[in-house]
Amino acid sequence: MHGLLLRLSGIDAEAEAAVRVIAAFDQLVAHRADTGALVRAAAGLAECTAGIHDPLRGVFLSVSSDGRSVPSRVIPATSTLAKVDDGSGAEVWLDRVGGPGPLDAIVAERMAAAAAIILDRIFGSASYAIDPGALELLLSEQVSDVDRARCARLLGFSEARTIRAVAFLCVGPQRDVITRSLESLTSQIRASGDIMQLAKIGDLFAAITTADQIPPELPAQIRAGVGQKVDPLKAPASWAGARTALRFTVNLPGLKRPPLQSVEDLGPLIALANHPIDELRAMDDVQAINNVAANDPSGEHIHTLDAFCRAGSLRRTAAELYLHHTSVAARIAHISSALGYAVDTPDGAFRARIALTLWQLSQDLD
Amino acid sequence: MAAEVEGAAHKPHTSTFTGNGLQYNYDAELAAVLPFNVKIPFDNVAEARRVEAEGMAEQLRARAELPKDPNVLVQDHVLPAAAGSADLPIRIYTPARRTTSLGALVFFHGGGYVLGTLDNEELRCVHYAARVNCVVVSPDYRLAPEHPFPAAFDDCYRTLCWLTGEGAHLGVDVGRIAVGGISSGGGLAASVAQRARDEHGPDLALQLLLYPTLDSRLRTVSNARFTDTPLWDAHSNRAMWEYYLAESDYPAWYAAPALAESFEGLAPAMLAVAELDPLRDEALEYALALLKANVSVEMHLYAGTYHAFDYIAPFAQISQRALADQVNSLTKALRS
Repeated sequence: MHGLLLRLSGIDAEAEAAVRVIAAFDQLVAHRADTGALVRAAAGLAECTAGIHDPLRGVFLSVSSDGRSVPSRVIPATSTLAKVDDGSGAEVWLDRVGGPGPLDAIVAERMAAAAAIILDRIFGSASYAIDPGALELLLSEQVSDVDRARCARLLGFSEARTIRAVAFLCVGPQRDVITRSLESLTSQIRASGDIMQLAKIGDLFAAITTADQIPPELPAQIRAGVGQKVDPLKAPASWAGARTALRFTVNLPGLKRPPLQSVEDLGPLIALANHPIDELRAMDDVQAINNVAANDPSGEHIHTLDAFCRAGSLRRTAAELYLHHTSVAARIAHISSALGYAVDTPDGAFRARIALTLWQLSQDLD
Repeated sequence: MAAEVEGAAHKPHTSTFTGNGLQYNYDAELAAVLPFNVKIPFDNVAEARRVEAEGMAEQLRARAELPKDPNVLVQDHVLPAAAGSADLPIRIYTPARRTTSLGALVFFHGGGYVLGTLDNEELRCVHYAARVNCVVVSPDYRLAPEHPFPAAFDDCYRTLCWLTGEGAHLGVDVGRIAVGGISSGGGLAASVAQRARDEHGPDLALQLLLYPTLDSRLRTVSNARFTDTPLWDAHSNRAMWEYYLAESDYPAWYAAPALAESFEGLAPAMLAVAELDPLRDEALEYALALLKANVSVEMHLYAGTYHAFDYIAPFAQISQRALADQVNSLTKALRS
């Protein structure tokens, strides 16, 4: 810089300086700056070191006031930081010898606002920051550990942090709306400092996240299976677990299940999912449930059976269903005769509950 | 959209940036500095000098906070008044550690023949001395309109002759000397190269012409088009020639080197050209004239740039590239 440029630090009126700062970053956006141009211009105008870090998109850049790259990969503790407000967890900073200047906060803030636009322009929306192919490779059992490790790094996952795979299924017609709500879920998780990558794989949306929990209040029409916690290189196992858990969220007339199921909460029930669907469908007890369901379009018999198997007594079932216990007893007798075994014994209830679960697992996902 | 800068009305010359900047396809980093660019009122010399001095004083305060490059010695010196000339201050940049005799560059600052001091290009000269490993000598030549042509031209040529005569004492191999300059300094370098040829002066290794002022005829498309470009436009260009041109015993082309009758036998040239600069086309024409006369030319046209962009925004990637091109060209030309 030299005499034909006003120095930011030399402008007395803060308001005037702020107007010029805003105009400068507007110019960068208008003239389609890339991240390097953004950081160099910030460093040049502020006459100090400036940087950007976007863990998801794998961007780390720090330059000194002469526009040359600084090799360090750490954000100095003395920096003036600003978050990039796109849910990506990216941030920008200024670092000045002798501590922050009076205008550093506004420069960093405008830089962050420009960064949100520039990162989106270059890498795409924060939810799809990366090539979905990389996520698919990371989840695939067919790739070598070396390739999987490379994909994990590319996606921002490090070996130091465990991950979970999540399988999302959108049901119903408005898929684009659902896609947006998944993006907002992704942003929500990222905003809390976790990494989450999302990609569409076949009929499912696959996610890998460092978050320990997915918020159970999923948007309507979305069901999710959450895989077990694993090292990033074991992502395919977690993905298999997530897809298995997803099968336990299938809803059928009379059979309501929570939309979010973690594989770890299934316990030994997971063993039921190991059978091929064709074998499940061929089982006598599953066919028997199918027959009951076929004559029960409202699902009231299936609902009664499910409630009875869980509650374990006619009285508790009646209370849950707001029915008189004699009505429950009549339905259970009817179902018992249809199934060919007495449901109102502990063994019969257990058998029916397993049959209901296998019937659920024998369904297509949507 | 860029906002107009409010509140600058009481300081009429501290802001030029009132447009949205989108009328030209500027390089993004070069566009970013425009809201901070100080408009030099070139039609009012006293005011122009006041504004430039104010900015330079602030700049020197900034430089004082930075560590000096330990690899380059900077010394001021005066060439005493001689027949028909006044004392001529010069600045000499010498690499701190050297083992053999070095090549040298005589470099002329810009400022439209009206503005500028030795401080303007100090950082560039230090950079050249360190990176090219050469001696750089820069004269504080006399300025128009008080001293129109040929004062600056004589001072610049005198500096070259002094270096050729005294260079050995500075550890310079006088067989390896280049001239160079930026803007009006580039025009002066081209004229000095012509005179060196005409008067059988030193055999120059290179003429380094950065966004040079070459042609007083103002008849190019770029000059007609760029009436509102940053740092230099057609208006300042016209005013400059009015300040600078004057009757003299020299041929007219020593004032405006594009007017030369012959380009044969001139030193090899390196031309740096900015795309959005009224001076663009005269530089391209000059390059072509040199090539037609069998003079070797290296030319760089930087897209999206305005006049003297590497001076105003040295941090920008394209400025770093331009500076690296200059260093490479000088290094090659001054190699033993």
